[in-house]
Amino acid sequence: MSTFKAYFKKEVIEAIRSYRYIIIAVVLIFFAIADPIMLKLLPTILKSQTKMDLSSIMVINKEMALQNYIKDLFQLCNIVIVLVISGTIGKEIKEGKLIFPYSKGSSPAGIVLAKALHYILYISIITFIGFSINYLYVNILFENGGVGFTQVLVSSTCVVLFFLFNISLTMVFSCLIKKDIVAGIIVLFLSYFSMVLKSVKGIYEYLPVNLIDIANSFSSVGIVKPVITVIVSFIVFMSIIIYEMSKVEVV
Amino acid sequence: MLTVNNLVKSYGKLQVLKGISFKINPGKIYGFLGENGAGKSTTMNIIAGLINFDSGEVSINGEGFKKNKRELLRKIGYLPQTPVFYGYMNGYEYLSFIGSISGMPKDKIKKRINELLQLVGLEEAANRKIGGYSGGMKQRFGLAVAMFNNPEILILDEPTASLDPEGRREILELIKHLRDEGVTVFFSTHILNDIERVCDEVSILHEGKIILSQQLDQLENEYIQPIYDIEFENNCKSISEVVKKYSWVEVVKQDENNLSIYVNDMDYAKKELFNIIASFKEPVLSYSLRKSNLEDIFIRLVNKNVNI
Repeated sequence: MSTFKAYFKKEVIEAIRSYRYIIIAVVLIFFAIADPIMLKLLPTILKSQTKMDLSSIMVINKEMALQNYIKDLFQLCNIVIVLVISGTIGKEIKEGKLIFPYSKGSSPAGIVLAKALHYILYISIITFIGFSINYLYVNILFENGGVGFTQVLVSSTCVVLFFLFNISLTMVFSCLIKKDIVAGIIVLFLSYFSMVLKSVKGIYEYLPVNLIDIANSFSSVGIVKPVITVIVSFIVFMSIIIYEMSKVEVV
Repeated sequence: MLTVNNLVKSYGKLQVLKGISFKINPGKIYGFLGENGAGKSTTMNIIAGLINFDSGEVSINGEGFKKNKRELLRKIGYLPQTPVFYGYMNGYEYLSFIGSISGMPKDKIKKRINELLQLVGLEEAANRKIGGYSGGMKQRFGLAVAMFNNPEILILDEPTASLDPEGRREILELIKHLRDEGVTVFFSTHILNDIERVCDEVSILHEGKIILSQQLDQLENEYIQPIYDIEFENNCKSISEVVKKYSWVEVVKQDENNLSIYVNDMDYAKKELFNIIASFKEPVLSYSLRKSNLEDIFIRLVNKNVNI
């Protein structure tokens, strides 16, 4: 427990000093604000470019505006999160930063869990804040349709669970490969490639990426199967990392 | 007491440690000497719990690493050759982090940080980011980190290798101070003078094997080969010819006015040589006894492969 506490505090200091908190927050909150504004302005922008009034064709309601934010979270914010976290274990091993902590008898499980829970907690908070801001702007700027805040919370939970899966997957590759960029690219490839499996019903409904579709539906129908995958994967991934970290030679 | 018994470590097909054994008595400074690649850092990394070993045993006060490694590591402090810290933290924060890992209560951590920063002379730099420390400061700070948990045994891997003479002197003084406080210091270096200045015992590691392990004073007595250097005012060839004939004289080297006499019976040489030289009535400019130093011994053992 002493290792967990020490590393959790260290991760907070590191994320502040290396601007990781700011980078993640800026990206998630930027899209939460910019997406509805851009959507609102889109017909006007197109009108000025094409000299055609598209406002009657392009009818954007609240659901569509919220879905646009979910799309950006999956396509763009996911990249930032994965790349920010990709060096969290491999880089520390490679640069010899674990020599002193290991020589003081620190527990690998404490280190791994502190790192994972720290980022999961922070990204969950920022994602909920992002959704809340987006919901507020969508309600101010758009009139048609209606999604309750509870439904938005369900959607944000789905996105958080998807991020949780990606964080743990990134940490596994970071630990095994020890090259942050390579680890990040592999995770991003797997993330986007899994969308291809959409047509394979029996498999796709269990995949974490299905959580993005569920988030888009603003309901919890079908959430159990991907959640089971996320939980089981998280336990398996953490066990793999802890095992690897227990036998890794940190010099 | 730290005991290493028949330790073997390989990287692939390369056997780095070929069954080394040694003991370090409490409160002593134990020097570990060897060329680059001899296996010094590997041995230290194993004892510091950072890498695994193939076979053999490491134990502290009779308790083996295989059963109780994490608990035993709390008795050890380790300073790597190039200490790496979280550079964005300041000195105070990093020591506090190390204290938390060691499971110390907050008030004790604060007290210990102040003690250690004073010991290594870094009180002024406590609130500066470690990334901005100089090489010498990092080495001293690393020593403070290694010392944090009041270790019984302190392992220092070439702590003076990258330091200037002043930095070296400071570290060596600190090491002596720690020995006086009862800490056992296991200290590797390839700077022989450092070993001579601070160590009580020394082991020489060569190609993964310990070729010598002895107390430093005994080593000097055993391997010393006394040489008398005498400078005359005139050519001393005739004196050389006479001195050679004595049974307690091993070799005589003569170069113009200089004579180097290698003796094999020191007691006899001390009493007789001066009288013999005086009997020639030749003016003597200097008369001195040259002692082999650790470097001579090291080179003889390693390069000439002298059996011990």
